[in-house]
Amino acid sequence: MEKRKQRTGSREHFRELHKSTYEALFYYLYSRTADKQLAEDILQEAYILLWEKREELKDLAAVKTFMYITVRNKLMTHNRDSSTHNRLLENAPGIFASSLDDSELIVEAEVVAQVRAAVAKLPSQTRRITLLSLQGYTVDEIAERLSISPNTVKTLKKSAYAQLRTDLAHLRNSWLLFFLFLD
Amino acid sequence: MFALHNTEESLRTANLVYRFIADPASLSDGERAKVEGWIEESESHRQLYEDMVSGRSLERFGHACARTDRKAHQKAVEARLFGFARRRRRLAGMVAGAAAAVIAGLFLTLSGGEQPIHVLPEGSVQAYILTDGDRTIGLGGMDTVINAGTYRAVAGTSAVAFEPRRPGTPEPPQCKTLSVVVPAGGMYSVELEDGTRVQLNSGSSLTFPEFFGDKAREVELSGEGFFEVAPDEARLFTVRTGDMTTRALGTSFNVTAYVDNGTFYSTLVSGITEVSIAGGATETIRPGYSAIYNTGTGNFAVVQADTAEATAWRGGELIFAGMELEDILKTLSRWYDVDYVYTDRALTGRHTFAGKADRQEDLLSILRRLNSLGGPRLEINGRTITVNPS
Repeated sequence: MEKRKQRTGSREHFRELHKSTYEALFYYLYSRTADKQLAEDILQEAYILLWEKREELKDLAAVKTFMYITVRNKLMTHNRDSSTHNRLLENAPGIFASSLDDSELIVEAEVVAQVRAAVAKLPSQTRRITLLSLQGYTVDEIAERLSISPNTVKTLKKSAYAQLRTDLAHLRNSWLLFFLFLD
Repeated sequence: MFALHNTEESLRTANLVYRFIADPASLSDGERAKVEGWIEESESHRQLYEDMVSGRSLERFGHACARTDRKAHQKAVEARLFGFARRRRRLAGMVAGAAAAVIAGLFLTLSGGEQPIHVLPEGSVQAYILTDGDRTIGLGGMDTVINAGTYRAVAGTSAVAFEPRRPGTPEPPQCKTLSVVVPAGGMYSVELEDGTRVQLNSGSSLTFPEFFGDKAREVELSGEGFFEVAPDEARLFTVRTGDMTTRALGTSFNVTAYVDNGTFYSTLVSGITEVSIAGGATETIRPGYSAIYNTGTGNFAVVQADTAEATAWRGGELIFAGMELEDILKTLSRWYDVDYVYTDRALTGRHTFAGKADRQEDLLSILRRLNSLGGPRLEINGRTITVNPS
């Protein structure tokens, strides 16, 4: 049987990097631009650059540092070149951009990404239900979306609650209670 | 100017804040003071902290991420980096799969038309190393040397070996805490820096210091692991699993402590161990015996055990002699990363089975065999097993 070799520099390695960094970076950029397309385009360029530099980045912290600096530089270049967008941000920062400064926004993005990683450790179906709940769907809507019975949704929500409590024992769990047991 | 130093500082703060929220016991006094200082630094920090613990941040983050498709983005970059060839083939497969699912309908019985469900294949990521709860390193996907500053390790497809402590390196509590986490579907072994080998079953994690001190060797287990302890008369080897603690010198033993099972086992294969319950009894265990602790009632007993049965999982086998259906389903859910649901709770605790299953088998064939033995009717929909009245 043919055995696939996986090395640093392999497609699998890239997937790991993308998976463990994308959401936080997207949140950072989207909070600054409120422009999904712009955020995704900047990230594409940044990941290409990351791949060229991967040998120099020894661990995930170095990768993250490189990515935040890169996307921020690209965003500044873009804003300089596109004056209308700049004006939009200046006129309505409360609506289109986060009020947090860069350092605070990185802290928020990284902390929340880790909380979501704890959610991601749940079994697949339970995880899907938990994430849909987080997005505000009701039990019946989730049941319909996933083609399963409302009772199944309720049971799996309860087991998710039990496991998240173990993983995030000290997180104030009012919001967990809220999204898992509302209705 | 916001540059390298500020970004690194923000990432370090994020790490500490996450641990402050999720696992405050893991912080040193200095680290705790640092987080508290950060929170009190400004009104803006106080507000942000409140948002992070109340779920408002999570909601904002969720709304933003719902607008993007991470996998599509990953594939778009992959296409630029590696070309298109494999992507086309996968798309064709997906279309065929989707059509089959539509034709088969929503709720499938086990008639033979479903997609097979397997454990994680050899050569894929089977486990992760977390350092102080962060900095994830995937294990099992490739042969790699991990050089993380203080510790070094060599990882292969089925095991990772940590290099022995060098003179002058910090010992607990100054050094970092590492965890090897094996998700559902995975199986992986760890050789600790003292030479002790631990094989971890699916859905398990082992937490240990980068280096053991001169007086003790202490690790924490969640899930199931088989320990072959390197002899060292001067330093007892201790495995903590909630309220139950197993202490050993040079021995091999199996510990089962899945929190969702409610019963913990410590089964001795060779040597001698001492098992104790927090605030309760301590028993000396001889080979061929098992300490059983019920986490609900607090009952603690030592009984004769079938060590071959207790350690069959190491060879990828599940042997069940009179095992309750729900316990079988719990094991299968960890092996195959699936959920299970009873449509009627009255079906629990009433059906036991005897037989054997193999990790290499497709899940559907195991379920079909269980169905052929009678009892509740098992169905599978996507990755959820449903238990129905027969």
